[in-house]
Amino acid sequence: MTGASQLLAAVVFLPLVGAFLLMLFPADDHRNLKATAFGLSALNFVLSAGLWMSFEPRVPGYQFETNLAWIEQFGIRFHLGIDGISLLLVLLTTFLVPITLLGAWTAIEARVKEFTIAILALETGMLGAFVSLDLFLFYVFWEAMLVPMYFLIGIWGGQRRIYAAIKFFIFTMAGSLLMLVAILYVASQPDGGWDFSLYAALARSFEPTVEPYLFWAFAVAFAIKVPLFPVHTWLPDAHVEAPTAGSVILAGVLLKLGVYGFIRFAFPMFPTAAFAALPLITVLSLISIVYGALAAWVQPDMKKLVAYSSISHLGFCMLGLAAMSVEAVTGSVFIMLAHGVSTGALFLLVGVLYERRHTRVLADYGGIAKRAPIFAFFLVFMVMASAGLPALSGFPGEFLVLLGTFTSKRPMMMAAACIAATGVILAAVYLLWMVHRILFGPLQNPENQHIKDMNLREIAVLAPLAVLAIVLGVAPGLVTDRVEPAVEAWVQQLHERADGIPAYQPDHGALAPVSLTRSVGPRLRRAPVQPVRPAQNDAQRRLDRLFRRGDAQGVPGGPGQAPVARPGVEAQGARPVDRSALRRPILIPGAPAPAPAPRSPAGGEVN
Amino acid sequence: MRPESYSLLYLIPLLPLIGAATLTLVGARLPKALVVLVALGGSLGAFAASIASTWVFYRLQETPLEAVLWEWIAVGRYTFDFTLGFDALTSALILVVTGVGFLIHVYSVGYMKEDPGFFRYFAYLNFFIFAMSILALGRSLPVMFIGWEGVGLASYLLIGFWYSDPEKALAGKKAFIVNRIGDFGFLIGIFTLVGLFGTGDFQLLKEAAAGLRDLDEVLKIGIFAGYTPRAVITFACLSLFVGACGKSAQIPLYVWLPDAMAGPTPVSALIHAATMVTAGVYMVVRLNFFFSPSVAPIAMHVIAWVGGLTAIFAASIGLAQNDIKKVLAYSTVSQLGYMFLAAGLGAYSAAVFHLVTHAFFKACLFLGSGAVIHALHGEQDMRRMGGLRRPLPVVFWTFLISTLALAGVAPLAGFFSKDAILARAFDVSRPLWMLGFLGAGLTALYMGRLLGLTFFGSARYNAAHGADVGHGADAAHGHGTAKEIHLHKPDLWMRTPLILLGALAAVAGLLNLPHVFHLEGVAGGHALETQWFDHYLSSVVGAPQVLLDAGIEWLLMGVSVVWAVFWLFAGYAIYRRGPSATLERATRSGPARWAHVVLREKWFVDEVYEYVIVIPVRTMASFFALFIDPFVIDGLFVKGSALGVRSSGRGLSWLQTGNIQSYATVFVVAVAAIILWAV
Repeated sequence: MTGASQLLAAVVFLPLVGAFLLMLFPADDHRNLKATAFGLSALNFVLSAGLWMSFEPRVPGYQFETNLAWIEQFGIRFHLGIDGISLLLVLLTTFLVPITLLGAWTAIEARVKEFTIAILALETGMLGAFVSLDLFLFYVFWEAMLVPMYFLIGIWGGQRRIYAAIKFFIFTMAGSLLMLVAILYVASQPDGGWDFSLYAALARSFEPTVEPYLFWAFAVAFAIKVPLFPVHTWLPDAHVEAPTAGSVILAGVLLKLGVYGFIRFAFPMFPTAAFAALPLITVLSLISIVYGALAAWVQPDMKKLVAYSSISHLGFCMLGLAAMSVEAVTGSVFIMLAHGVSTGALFLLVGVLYERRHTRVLADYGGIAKRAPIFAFFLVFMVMASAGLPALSGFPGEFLVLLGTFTSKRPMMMAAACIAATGVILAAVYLLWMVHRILFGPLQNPENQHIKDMNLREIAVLAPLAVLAIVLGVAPGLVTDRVEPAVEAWVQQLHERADGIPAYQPDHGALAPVSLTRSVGPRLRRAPVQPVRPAQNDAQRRLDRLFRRGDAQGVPGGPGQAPVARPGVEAQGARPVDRSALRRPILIPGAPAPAPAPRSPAGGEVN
Repeated sequence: MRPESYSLLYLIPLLPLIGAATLTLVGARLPKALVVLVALGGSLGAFAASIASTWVFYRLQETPLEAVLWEWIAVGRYTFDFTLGFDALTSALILVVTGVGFLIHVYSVGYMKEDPGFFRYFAYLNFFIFAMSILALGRSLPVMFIGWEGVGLASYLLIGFWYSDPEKALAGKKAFIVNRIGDFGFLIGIFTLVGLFGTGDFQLLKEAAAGLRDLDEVLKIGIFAGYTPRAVITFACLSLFVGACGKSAQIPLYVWLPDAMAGPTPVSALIHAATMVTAGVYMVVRLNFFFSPSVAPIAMHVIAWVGGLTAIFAASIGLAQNDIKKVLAYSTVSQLGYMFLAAGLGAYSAAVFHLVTHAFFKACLFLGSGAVIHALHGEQDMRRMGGLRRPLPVVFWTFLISTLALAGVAPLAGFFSKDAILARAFDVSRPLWMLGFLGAGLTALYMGRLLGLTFFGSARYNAAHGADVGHGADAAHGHGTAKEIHLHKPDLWMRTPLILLGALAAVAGLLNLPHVFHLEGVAGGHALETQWFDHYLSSVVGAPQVLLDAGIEWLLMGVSVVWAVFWLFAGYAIYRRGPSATLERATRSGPARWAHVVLREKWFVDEVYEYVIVIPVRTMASFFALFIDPFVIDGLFVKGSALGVRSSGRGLSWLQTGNIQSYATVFVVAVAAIILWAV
């Protein structure tokens, strides 16, 4: 186990350790409780920045892997690792938690100790779920997350908090139980043993009669989390009743776990069933986009408005997955981040108003811009980021999803992209409606006459989000360079492993000019993406290529034999990455011990 | 021609961006003089950088310049670099944007000096220059789209600048949303072109267009397999044109522009007359290798007809408006129609030439109307103006020159640019020429009316001022209630831009004299240089064509000047003594009344949109939010399944305490037990 992989475990568990630490604090020492919790979560962000620094970009596959024996009898292992996708989501989480804590500095006055503990415990739950490569471990984190979130809504929530909390719990629990059953099925091996490792699950192929059920068991759990129409109704209630901190984390991170679950588990484990489900997922995503946007437009409550806008945005994420092209899926991951930033900021801004006026009803406001120009600036800025103004964070993701959907070879996707693009219009409609109702017009309500502008702490909370919104919009390459390799491998492998689906073979455009490959940036100098031709019909071997691990099954050809599926990169003289240094053989419990990997000197010992 | 690298291009957008950022962050604390310095510095810097770039471009024998800044979005198959480009077409637009932009900055210093939002105003204005230069310089569709939406944001902020008035704020919102509808088309157009050609870069697209062999051969590969390239390109052109309709206020998306007059008048001059609204024309000309009668004839017909119809339709509404800015707004819509008429006929350089001259005389007209409104403390209703010729001489003379230019009276700028369009229309399509010709008459008529009502006759502003003012006036200036109002005369800040723009409106025609002016021995023994602008743009849009016979062209020019002067004089004669009592009587009954009401109420288009689109969609939204969600989904899924569980699970009811804490306890204990047992 190297230092780098310990770093990942440290990032995951530091908040939990912090939560235990906070238990020793006296309950009425609010200041120190908050400061310690904030400091710890900020420290965790710094640690995770270390992950970012030492992460090798433009490389698919997992890095910082930790693979320890945990519950041997059941083939349950403590197995963590991140690829480009989870790296970004981990960073989003560690970035949003300190901001949330700082944002809740004065909003939470009761049970501060429990609050800080809940947030930190929640952080470990979320981070763990993003980095688990073992189904059991994932399930533990997934469920562990529910409890603090339930308390966040139920204790520090609004008027109907109990109703909202129970609704939240029942919806997500219903999905989780389905998933648990499916996990148990997947983990039970034909020989009677158990193996909860994700790799083992990926290596198995399920009977065509069973696979759809397993897929949908996972898919329903994740769709509830996303949330996808028609299982979305828990979200507006949860948001409205949750305290600001809860809303920020709920929208910023928790919903992403649904999309992430599709990417990491549901699609790769059951590729054939996933492909069969794509038309339905497409339709549901389109409904979510349009329905969410329209419903947002008529909400009298601003939190509900932002909640429905989340449904619309997350619909774009799911559409990107359904389009199954590298651009669209990368765009989906990008939207997850961008939505975390802009919607997180919008919930914080709603919280700023709520702290002052204790109402979230749009009609109670109007003309606030006059009294609170800084607030007005941030609100308009974040609304523009959320509405996808180019060069702000909302645009690259939406653009990639729509472009990737439009140019996807799957049937009817062109029409789907056109329908989804109406969401871009509607986003302007509901968001500007909100801006208008809050900021503009005469300052009629006498209670708003003396509303105070944002203070320094609140500016400090929102400024990083605003800066990030610009950075993501201007230099989306920071994200996509890390995400794309993982996504590319993901898309290609899914196409290969699903039965009856031709290899992923997108074209550059039927009439692309000859000079395209030499005149534009370095990326296009590589040849058009070639299909990865399976040398033989052997799922195990193709999986090896995906994860580039030592060959546990002793397939002829040996480990690391298959070249990385990015033809042209090496051929055109781009920097070849020595991937062997980044991988280590993975032990699949129950399988024969791996042969020593000749091409991975850094592979080291197996835990 | 391979572009030369010229990295200093980035200064053109960067300088105003720095200005905007500075003013946004610290503007509130800066003294006014410093705000002025930063704002004017930003826009003047951009203008200087544009001149420098044009000079470099010229010195390099008109080799296009480029600055590849960074890889913006690069995923999968596609790379969209952040590249700026500079060619003849760019230089024409960017010089207008930064030049007129700078003059309007100067004017605004005088116009806005008493406004409490002074720094905010200049922050937005600088931001607009930034966004517009990205639009002009962006060398690919996605980068252009940054500017395209950026100017939309600037427009939104500036229309709603006086946001305390809900109507003004709503006008800003309407502008943004209607533009977004256009942007929807623009996006689909981008996707189509990128899907077909694999790139959004203009240079590469042009290359690809040049390499197209057979436009009618059905594609066999790619996402458009089964369609011909012509069909796909036509679809892309029409989609992009939807975007152009939004940004450039053409039928059916023009409705936001008249409302946009809620913004401060210099903003109307800069954004909603001279520059931003011409972006659609610029885009069409920029992509002239697709927007071409030989490549996408159907799309070109649509564009020419939409342009022609908009030209006459908007002019007809302009006849019946009483708000001085509204008249000018409909005039702008109508003139933009002329530009699309030209572009749709393939007369790209005529379209751009009209864009340039229109920027000069329309900016001058708006600034002049701003000076009038300023002088009258916010009055915008022409019925309460009159006789301003004497107290405001500078305004009057510059306004008169620009009016004559707009009406197309020789030898002012608008005459040459409009004539170039009408000559092409006459040659290609007589019905379109007829539309343009009638529109020119209407233009002269409403401008004669405006001139007569505002500057001639007796002063009516003293008597009625402050009474039933129907229209929103520039709020910062408020309403005087005194009977005798003190005229607020324009200061030097305001007069200088007026004079400069008036001069440009007078002489800009020299840029592009018609070929028939190529007469020996007129200018000191040499022939006059004709069609200079056509030749200048030829590297982008192809060599100018001489189509009409010289005799016919002379005849057309003569007829259109007589036609314009006649209607101009008619308008002036009817209205020079104020609102015409005769006309009032005539329109009190019968079909004339209906005609008047229809024109005054703008053909009821806003109402139609409200009832056909907005209200039904909002009703549907309410239906989703107030019925489907709480009753259908929650009712069916949530309560239904709960009911199912309850009835089937009676036997286990002792477990179902309804107490989540106890559930959680059971869960945690169970998990712990499993783990302990396992370990």
